[in-house]
Amino acid sequence: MLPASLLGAVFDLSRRPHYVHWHFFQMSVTNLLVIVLMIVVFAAAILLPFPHRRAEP
Amino acid sequence: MSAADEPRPARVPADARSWTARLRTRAEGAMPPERLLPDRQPSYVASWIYVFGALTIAALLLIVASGLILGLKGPAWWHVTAIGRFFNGIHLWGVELFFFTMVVHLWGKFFMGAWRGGRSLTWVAGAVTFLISIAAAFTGYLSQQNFDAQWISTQAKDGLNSVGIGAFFNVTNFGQMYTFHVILLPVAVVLLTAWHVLLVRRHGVVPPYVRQLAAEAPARPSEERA
Amino acid sequence: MASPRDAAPPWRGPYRSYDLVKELAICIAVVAALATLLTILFSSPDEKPSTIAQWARVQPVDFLTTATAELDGSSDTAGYGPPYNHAATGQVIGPIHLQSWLGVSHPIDTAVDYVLAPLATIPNDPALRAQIARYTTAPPAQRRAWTDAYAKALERAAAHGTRVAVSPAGSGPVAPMMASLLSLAQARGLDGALLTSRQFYQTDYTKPLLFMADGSLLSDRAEAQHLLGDQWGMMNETGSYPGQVWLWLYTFWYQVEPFKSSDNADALVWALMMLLSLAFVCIPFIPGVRSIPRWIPLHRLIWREHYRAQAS
Repeated sequence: MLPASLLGAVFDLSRRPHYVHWHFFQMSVTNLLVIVLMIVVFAAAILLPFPHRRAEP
Repeated sequence: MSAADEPRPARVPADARSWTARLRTRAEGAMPPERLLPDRQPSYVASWIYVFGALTIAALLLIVASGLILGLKGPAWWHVTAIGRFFNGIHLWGVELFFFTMVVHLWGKFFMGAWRGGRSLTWVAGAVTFLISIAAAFTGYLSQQNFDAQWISTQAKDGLNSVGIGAFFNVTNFGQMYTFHVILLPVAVVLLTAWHVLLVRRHGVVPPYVRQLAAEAPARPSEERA
Repeated sequence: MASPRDAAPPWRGPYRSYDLVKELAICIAVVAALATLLTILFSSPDEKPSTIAQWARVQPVDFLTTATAELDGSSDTAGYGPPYNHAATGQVIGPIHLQSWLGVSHPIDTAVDYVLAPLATIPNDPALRAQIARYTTAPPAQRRAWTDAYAKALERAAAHGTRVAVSPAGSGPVAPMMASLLSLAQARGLDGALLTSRQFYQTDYTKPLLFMADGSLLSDRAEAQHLLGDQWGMMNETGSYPGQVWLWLYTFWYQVEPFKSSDNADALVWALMMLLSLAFVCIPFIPGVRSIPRWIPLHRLIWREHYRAQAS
């Protein structure tokens, strides 16, 4: 495995993964982050005002 | 009087026997240019959620472009050069962005009840595209030629074998999976996406739910088609 | 029949200018920029593949144990059933036996393909040939006795680097055969032999992959990366990279009963997921489900401007 710097990665994500456990539920921190981000982006998409022109009749 | 002397009519009527003319007339009727590429939308189309369909298409274009480069250089290239690794990264993150934006688009369309008004087929086309995309991503993971591909193939074979699919779709056969991944499934995803978009253009963006205000009478009993 | 409150009459209200092509162009620029940024920050994972040679060097006892199981037909692949052999009938969904109905399309005889045929390629070794002949001409009960004795001896065997010290007592020709197979594997001969036994050009890695999967090497690596089935592995990627989040529901069923302890877990989960996928595609036609957007009216936020204009 070549060092991250040689292949352009600023952060090396190939290290030991981190996981969250709750009863039988297990998920990687990264995957959890992705899901949370999806929910946040969805909420932002429907709440943030969308710039638009005046409507023509 | 010869044919050359007769004045030419402004528009030649279509020959009812001509398949070409009939196809053209039908296509023009279903999708006139202003409907295919409208420059106006109903005033209710004013939310960031509407952008996620276009973001998904953008991600798909990025996946196809980066995939083309990876394919042109062959499946071993990205393991041995930095530039190959870079394009593999674009391809992977393109896929992550593709599913991210597609799911947000899907949530938005679900909560808008976007199948209403004769748009059921639009929903069906989109849902099938989602499922075929999962299959395309799956064959991509199998084409990586690294430990991940070894593990995924030896695990996934059990599920597929248990329902007989493994008999003709062999996940440990790299050649077969690579062919599915670089040609068969991308063509399917692109065609399904095109069909989905054409259906959206055909029927228009779904209008808002009819909101019953306290003083009004109930909504019309019949559902009208767009 | 759809509820009247789901009516979507054609729009007769105002329109506004909306540049779809410009929107798509901006989206392409944004997505390309994001993907480039993510690639520069994180690159992509590439864990090197395992080889049979590595396996034979790093876990020689596990290699020999697996090879013996292939020879005597007790390995997972040997007892798999279709599409590899007829040793079992496969999984079922009630009366539906799809696995056996679709038949053996990729035949593998584990004893021949993984042990006897590769050993036969070793040249200039008349002693080995004699041992192989002794094994193949012996009655099945005798062969079984030899492999059982060897497997038992392996349980007490110790690895010294790439060598294995195992007591050969009672194992007849199996001990020298396995010693030769181990040497062949460690010299990378088995990787090649399993791939090109029938033809030079090859893209089908089924044989070597199934052989490795019958041992512990791949699963040991997978466990360290949280990729095992009971670790919700289907959703995960190696390292800390984002995985396949969209497979959450598929892997969920394997964690709960009755699937968790069922012999037909794979077939049952597949059947359930096919049903749920069909339901997902058919949402517009399912009463109740298609009314959820009305019961959870997020649309009031999306179309708040429209409703405000309507009310005024």
